[in-house]
Amino acid sequence: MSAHTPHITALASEHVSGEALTADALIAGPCALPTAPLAMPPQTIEHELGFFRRLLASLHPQAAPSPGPGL
Amino acid sequence: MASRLISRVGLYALRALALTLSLVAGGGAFVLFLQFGAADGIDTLDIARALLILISTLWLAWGAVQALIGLTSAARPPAYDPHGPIRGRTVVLVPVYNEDPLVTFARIAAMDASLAATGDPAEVHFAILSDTRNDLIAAREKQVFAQLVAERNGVGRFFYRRREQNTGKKAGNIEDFITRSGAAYDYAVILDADSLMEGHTILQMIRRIEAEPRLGLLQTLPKVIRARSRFGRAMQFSASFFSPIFARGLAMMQGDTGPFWGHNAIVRVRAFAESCGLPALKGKPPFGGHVLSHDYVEAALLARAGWIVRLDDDLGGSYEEGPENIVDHAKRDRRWCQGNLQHGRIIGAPGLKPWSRFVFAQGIMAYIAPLFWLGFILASIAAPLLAPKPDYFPIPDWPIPYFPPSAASKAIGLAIGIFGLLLLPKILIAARAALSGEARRFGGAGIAFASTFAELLLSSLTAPVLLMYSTRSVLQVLLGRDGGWPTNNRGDGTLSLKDSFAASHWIVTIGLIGLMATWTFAPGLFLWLLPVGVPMVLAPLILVWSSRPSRSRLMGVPAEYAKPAVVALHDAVLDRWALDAERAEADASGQISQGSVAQNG
Repeated sequence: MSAHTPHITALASEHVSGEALTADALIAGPCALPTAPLAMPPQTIEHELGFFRRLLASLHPQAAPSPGPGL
Repeated sequence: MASRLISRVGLYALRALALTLSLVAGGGAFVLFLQFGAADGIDTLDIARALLILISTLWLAWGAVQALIGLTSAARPPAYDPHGPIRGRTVVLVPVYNEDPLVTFARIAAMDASLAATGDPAEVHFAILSDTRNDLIAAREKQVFAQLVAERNGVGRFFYRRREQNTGKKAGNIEDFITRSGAAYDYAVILDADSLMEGHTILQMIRRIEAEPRLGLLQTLPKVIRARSRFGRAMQFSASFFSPIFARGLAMMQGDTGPFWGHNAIVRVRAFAESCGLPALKGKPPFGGHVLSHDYVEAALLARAGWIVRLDDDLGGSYEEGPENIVDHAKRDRRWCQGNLQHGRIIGAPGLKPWSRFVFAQGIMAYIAPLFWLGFILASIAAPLLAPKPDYFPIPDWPIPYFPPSAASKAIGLAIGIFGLLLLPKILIAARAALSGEARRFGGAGIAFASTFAELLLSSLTAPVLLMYSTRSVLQVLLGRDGGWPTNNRGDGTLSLKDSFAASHWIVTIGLIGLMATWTFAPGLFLWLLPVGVPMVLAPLILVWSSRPSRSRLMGVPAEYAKPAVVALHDAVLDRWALDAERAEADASGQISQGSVAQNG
């Protein structure tokens, strides 16, 4: 177990002998990737609008919000 | 705090100096060319050509300035304890895609043996992330993996998985690993299938990232190894002799916004997971779809999230292999070209650091710069057609003809300046290597200088051919053609004349047309354009010749004079496994023949 990461069951198989296992059994068993999910949220890597559309949008003043009732 | 402020001021000053020097060089070329053009009167084409030469020279000067800055300092390690205990768990990720499993997995065995030889108890695992589409190769991967696990006693340390769909290509492959298993690890060393790293280097990378909690990614400077062909060895020499100086200049200018080249680097898994989830870009390839050159984007995203991205160019023991011939180089370059031009969509992403945007712009410029040179050459051939006829009698009734002053000296000065920008950095690097004793690792000062000139000669010969491939790649991308994800050719890359001609006949045609057009329309330029035109006409021969094995003493690199330990380990494992495979094959065929004898008997 590392000082930083939690103990992962799938990694505790150091004492399992691989000699008796076939390649498929190894890959499906002790040599399958450990199950320890980590979220990888998608990042914003481009603007919603293209450059020219943004430029046009910035040139046109936005419509003022309509006044609320009673004003 | 104060020291950080001073270093930040120094960084901005250095960047400003580099940019100013490049602008001065570009501006100087612009003015010189205008003076040259003014001799017979300036027209629109002269101004257009001057602008093209300004952009091209600016780009050349930027590279030269980078080298000059790199020459002013030596790579030094950061402050950390190189013998401290390692607390985190690390996984070495090896993405594979239709590679030869024997060669690739033998590298893993070698790196594991190299790690074991250090005696360090650090917990380092290996995960093979297969995106292989070929079922035969996939079946072989499983067999060789079982052999690897058995030989290295790797149960619990070695992992293998093959994806059903290779969504997102290499970036998607890494992302799949992190979302499935990322929480099991503190750090991930990301490799390519042809990467090889000393165990000691891997451990130092882990110690360095552990020592700096703000460090999100640490990139090493991989050296090219195992090149055999003339072209491959020239690239290998260049990567070993010149690149460290250029990389030093880059490292000095980038501050905390360093590069990621996609492999031979370590990442903090949490930082990478938080910052580097890459969605597909809107629209279809080549500009939309999955991000092709994901590494640059991931470096920019880590920096945007506040993580340090650093190039530690002092770290040795980091290796990769390169293409052995120009055709394979051009194929790889086609992919990189599309990836870099795709960054045009990302360069404006919200919140990116200015230097990250600048890096994207540099990447784009690297691919479109040849178009400016080509534009300049074409405009120069066309210029005499559009120029007004010289007026030798500008004063009416004056009997003596007037000859405009020759501006040839300006043109010669400009050519010398441009060649200087191309040649000077490399010659200075050779001189410094000779003075510092570094040249001894390259066979001595004499050999290192001779190798430098040989490399300059070879790169001058291949440059027009590579320029044409680059131009074609850019035009294909601009016309919307997706290059896909071709498998890398590794191993012996010797080309036949037939294959070379098939790959370059269009360059020959363009070269012939260009030379004939120059002879017809601008004979004064003919001699100037021969160094560009002749290699184009001889492209098939250059392709064949440069792909042949090199037996020269020139362009020797330290890894050839003294084989690195991990390379020797890789050789030993590969020899043994290849022998085992041959024996198994012989046994199998023997059993088959015995069976058939028994049946016939």
